[in-house]
Amino acid sequence: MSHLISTAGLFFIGLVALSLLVTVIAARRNRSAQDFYTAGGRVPGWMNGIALAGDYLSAAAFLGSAGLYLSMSSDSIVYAVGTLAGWPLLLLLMAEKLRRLGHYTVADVLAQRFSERRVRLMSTLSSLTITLFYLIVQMVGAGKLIELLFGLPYLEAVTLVGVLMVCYVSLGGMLATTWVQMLKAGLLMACGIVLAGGVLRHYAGSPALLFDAAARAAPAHNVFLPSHALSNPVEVLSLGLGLTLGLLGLPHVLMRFLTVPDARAARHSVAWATGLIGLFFILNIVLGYGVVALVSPNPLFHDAAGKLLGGSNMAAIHLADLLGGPTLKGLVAAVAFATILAVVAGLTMAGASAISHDLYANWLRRDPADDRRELAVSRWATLGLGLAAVLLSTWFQNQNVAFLLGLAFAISASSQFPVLLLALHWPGLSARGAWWGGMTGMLASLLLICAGPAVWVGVLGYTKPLFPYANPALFSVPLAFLAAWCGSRKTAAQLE
Amino acid sequence: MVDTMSVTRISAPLLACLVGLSCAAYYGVIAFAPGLLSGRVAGIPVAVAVALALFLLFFGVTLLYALTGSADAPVERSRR
Repeated sequence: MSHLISTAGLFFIGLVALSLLVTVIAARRNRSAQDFYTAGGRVPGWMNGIALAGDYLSAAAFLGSAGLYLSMSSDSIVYAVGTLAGWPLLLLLMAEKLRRLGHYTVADVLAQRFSERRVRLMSTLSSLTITLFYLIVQMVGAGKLIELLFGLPYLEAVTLVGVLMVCYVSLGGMLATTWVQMLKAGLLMACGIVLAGGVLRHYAGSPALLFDAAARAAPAHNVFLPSHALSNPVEVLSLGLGLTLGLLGLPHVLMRFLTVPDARAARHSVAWATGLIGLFFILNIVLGYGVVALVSPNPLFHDAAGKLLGGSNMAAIHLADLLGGPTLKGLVAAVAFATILAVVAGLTMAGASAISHDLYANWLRRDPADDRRELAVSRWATLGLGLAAVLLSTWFQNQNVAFLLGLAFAISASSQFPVLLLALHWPGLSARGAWWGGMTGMLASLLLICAGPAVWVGVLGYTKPLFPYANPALFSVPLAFLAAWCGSRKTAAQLE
Repeated sequence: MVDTMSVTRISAPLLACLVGLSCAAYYGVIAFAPGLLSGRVAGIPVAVAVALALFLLFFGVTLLYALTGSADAPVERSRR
């Protein structure tokens, strides 16, 4: 155990030191608000693409997905298809227009079309809600990881993550966040290749033999079909809709299109990101079935009750231990931790920008000219977001992170996506329609999540949920579009 | 010489429909007939093979679109 702690600890310290060094170097290049928020708009397409992949490949994609194979058969593949489908749609429907219309934040895009302050307020509230939910997902992954490896209590573990994320964002801004994301994306891909290679080597390089072994390891059910959690058609369609469209409303992803110089670079960014994420998902299939075939039958990784040590989110770490001993386990754990840190930094960047630029400078003071004051507010906002994420993550610490991610996507698909899509493509959308659509989608998705099994039963402890489905997107997304249409019709009727 | 902008303009909605419909079909199968994904193709489970085919389609569409079109186009702005 002491050897494990020293190996993992060395990798942890090394990665944290490297990322802090990157942050300090980036901080020296930040001279204006534009540098801080969008890295001066000079990030090349390929770099932005790698950073986008880094933003996207979070704790849920790595730790949660591998764990899902163990507990929920092939549900992880169902999640992967929906989330990857969002990338071409993001490119075809939004990326170029966002680059042309955006300034610092997603709300700026709407502000280009609607001068009403309530539209900016709606977009800001929506961005903050999505960011906070997504932050909780990452914090849960980080807390569990550190808890397992170092025996550090959950609250102390997530506090450590919170402190580091505040350092990255408040010092280095978007440029540091981009570089940290690139570093982390490279390390994560390398880890995925090493682990998948290790799994396949166990089976003479044959995926077919791996799948046979996975089927033998879980004879009670078909590991290649979705689990009972996806047996309800409404639940499945709702999950698919939320996962596919959720990407198109994630503020920390959309904000990245404001860091590139032109529309061509925006398109190239998406191509790079889709390729890298698709490759990682393929590696994840090998990892996932490797976990089923190698980790699930091994008593070393289970407690007396037969439960996986550290919970299902730690399955990939156990696989690394089995394949490469404490050294590989330490390396993979450190990379998983760096993954979480980087994603948390990207999210915090988006949330802090929404507070300082949209809420403070443009909505409250109506004076976006004072860069110095705006950046100071951004740093305080970073601190506030860190505290909120730490506290909220303690409520959700026993949920699977991939499942929680699905809920964050549902909020994004219901609030930010409908308004942005209509604002970019439908001339008939009015400010009232944007306000009604965004608020309806956000409130509907939040209420349905709270009344559903995840919060009503999982967090609040009631025996039966008020709303039967865990994924609300199938109901909240159409509601948002309907509200936007009704609001716009009302405006048109008043003008006639 | 091929007008790459017009290629982009025509193909974007079609490509979006292609991605959206294939994704909807996949979730439709998962929702209503998951049994169709049981069995193997050349040793690979059908569920995995279908997912891999969709990954390839999504990347192909993205790459096709990313390589066409110009750097920037004029922005139309209106306020209501």
